[in-house]
Amino acid sequence: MSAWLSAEEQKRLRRSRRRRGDQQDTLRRITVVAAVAATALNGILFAQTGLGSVSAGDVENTVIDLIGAVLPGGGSGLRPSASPTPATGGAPVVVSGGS
Amino acid sequence: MTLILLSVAVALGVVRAAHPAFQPLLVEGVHRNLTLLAIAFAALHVVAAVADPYAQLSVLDAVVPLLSAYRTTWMAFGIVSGYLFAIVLISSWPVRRLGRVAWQWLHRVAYVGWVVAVVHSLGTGSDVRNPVFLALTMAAVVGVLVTFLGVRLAEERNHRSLRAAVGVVAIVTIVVIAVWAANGPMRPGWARSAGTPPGLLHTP
Repeated sequence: MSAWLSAEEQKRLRRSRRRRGDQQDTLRRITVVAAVAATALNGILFAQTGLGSVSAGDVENTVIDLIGAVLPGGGSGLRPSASPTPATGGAPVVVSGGS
Repeated sequence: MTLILLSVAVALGVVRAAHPAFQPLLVEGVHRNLTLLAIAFAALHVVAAVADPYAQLSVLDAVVPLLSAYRTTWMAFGIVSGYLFAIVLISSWPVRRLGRVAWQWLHRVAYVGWVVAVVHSLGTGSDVRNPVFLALTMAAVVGVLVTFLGVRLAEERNHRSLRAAVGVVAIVTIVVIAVWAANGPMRPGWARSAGTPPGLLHTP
């Protein structure tokens, strides 16, 4: 009787240990997935906020600076002039105000 | 992100308290690990805020409430929330020597810390009107509120009037925060009224 109980007891103990091991595996998996998902989402939110505060001009200047760094003198001709281009003397084109 | 992780951890804590026999190892393990992950993200958040030259925060500004010139009140909410969660963390340390009742009451400080963190994220966040941020914050708040009302309070058998009072306080708190958010952080001009130094404001 006691031998039968002991075998039953051992089986229950084994089952309990296996269940504990399975739960620890699941816990590990959930933790890793949560950490990766949180990091990815944080990166997306960070990039979205960062890109939202960057204007098109900033991007253009960064690209030109990068080209200038890789090819010395290469970026200088790409940067748009701050002053308007002088007129070349051609006939003016009327765009509005016609009778 | 810290708020989202904290919210899931709080919701799991609510489930754990209401159903202690339901997958105890798993629920408590995920609750503990997500809280530790949230603390890591919070630390990263503080380091990034101090390192970011925009807000010009010093280390002291990040640890002493009401010291920073940048959105003073709303920054203070974040710092206070950090200290409240520090109390929860330290009192839950594996070698704690507190009695069960004292630990439970200290652990409930997490609810206050979470509410304070929500106010901080809405008040200080420069991305409140970002639809992704807003959707995540709303999901976190609704998730915690529904779990708290539906699992914790519904499962409690005793203290009917106390349960009703706690439920009303929880709902009123969230409604007040929602109304404040709609009329404050969601409105144009919040950056100025939140206390952003004039030198940092974009003038049209």
